Amino acid sequence: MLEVRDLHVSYGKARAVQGVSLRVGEGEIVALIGANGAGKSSTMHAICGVTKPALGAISFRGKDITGLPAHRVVPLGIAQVPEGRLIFDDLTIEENLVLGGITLPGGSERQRMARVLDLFPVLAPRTGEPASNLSGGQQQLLAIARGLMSNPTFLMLDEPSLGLAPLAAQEVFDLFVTLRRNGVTILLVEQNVRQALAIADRGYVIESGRIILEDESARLLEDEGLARAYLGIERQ
Amino acid sequence: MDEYLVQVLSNIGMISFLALSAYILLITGEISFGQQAFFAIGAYASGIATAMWGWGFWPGLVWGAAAAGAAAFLLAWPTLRMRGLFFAIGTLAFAEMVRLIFEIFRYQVEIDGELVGPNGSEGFRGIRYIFEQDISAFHYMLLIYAVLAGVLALLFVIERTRLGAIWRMLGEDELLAETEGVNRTYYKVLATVVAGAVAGIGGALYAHMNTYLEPKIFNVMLGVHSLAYGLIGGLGTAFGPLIGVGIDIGLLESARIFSGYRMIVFGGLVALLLIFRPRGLLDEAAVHALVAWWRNTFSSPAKRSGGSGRPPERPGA
Repeated sequence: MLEVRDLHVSYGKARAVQGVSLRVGEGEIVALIGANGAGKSSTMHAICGVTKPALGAISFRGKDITGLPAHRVVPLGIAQVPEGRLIFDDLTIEENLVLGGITLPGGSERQRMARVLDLFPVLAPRTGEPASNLSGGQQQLLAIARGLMSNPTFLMLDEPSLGLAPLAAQEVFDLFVTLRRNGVTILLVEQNVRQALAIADRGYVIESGRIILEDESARLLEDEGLARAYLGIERQ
Repeated sequence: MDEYLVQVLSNIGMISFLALSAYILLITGEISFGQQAFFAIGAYASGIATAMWGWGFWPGLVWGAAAAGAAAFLLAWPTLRMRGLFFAIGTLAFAEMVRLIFEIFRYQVEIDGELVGPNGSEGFRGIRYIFEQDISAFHYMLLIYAVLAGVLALLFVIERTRLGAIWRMLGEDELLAETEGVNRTYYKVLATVVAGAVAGIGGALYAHMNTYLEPKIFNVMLGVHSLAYGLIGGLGTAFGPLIGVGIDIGLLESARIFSGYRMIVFGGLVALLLIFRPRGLLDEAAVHALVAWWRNTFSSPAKRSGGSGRPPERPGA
């Protein structure tokens, strides 16, 4: 579904991404794992068109989307949930959702909202409340729900479990499994390696702007180097 | 009506256009120190049209707004690549440039044995359309407020549509707006052009009330004030900047109780508000609370309990 080949992203002289290649198949959940500053977010921004890649090619469903601006990428069915939740506290839950599909025709809004809220039983009865009433985990759910308002078939999430309590994080990860069942393909950028790999089919490990490891999730969880670097485990 | 009062109210009305112009950019997240340039362009363009080309008042007004909007469009391309502080400085430089151009701009024609038209730093005399048509100061004041009501109505409609939501979304978080598929450049340029045209309308009204334009009045302080109006009155609704204008011109400048201390009181007021209400008296939260209160007090009980039956509500409305 998505193919990234030899992607390079630079900010002035700083090279954030130096030759990332990855592939996400239809219906897959793929995790992109790495430390702060490894180039995870830059890779995502390049895919959704917020940042222009310096080099490389990105294609979505066989169509070349390299360097296409975000407002032309989103209508293709790609949505991004940026890092740090970024919901509007003063607005109600409903208003936050409206902003998610703001570039789509308003006529289908009610229908899209009903469909999205079906997936979020926690949010559905509270649409009139200000978003600031929600807990951290629920706010993250709202951010994801907002991402779904543009009817994406491919969803990218930047550290959705950041700052969440373990139980709340688990709730978010469980949601991804439900979304996949509903036909949404997912690229997950995470530092929460164990939980991310527990639901992902495959994973890529990125370090200093390069992919250093790529495998099925179960195999990655077994990997010695990864275990030492990211899971804080020493095996005998 | 008292002549002085008419003059004060007319001033409040005209400066309101400038405050609304700065407000439009503020809600999209841009601080401009240069809206006075579009006020000046609107004033000169409409003055030239009525005094020199023999146009009527309304075509002159539209022409002034169009000229200011077009200038804003030209400014938008280079400056919107700059962000935050750099945009503010860019607009400031632009406005000073426009003012200096008017200081040397000479374009005069002879009408009835008299030279009429902009004469550099000497100014632009003889924009007499309103006097020739024998329109009284009171009637002209009503005309200013009628136009202001029209612009306000337009802004209220915009704020209730997707356009208003997108502007506010850009103002809150550009990156987020972009990832939701908003074409940043398009909507920011549009905001700049609308803001420029609104300032241009104010300038056109000013030119015809004063009959005389001088480049030096379109200085930076005018721009700083128009920015401050929105910050004082609030950015939650288009009424906010009008409250700011009312406080400054109505109370501080015209009531004369503060006479020489106007700028001190004004500066102090801005400082206090920035500390206690950084988005003004009528900020977004206040507007939301007011709307909710209005609904609860004046809507029927059936509507009040449900919530699912009410029409979709737009943010910033």
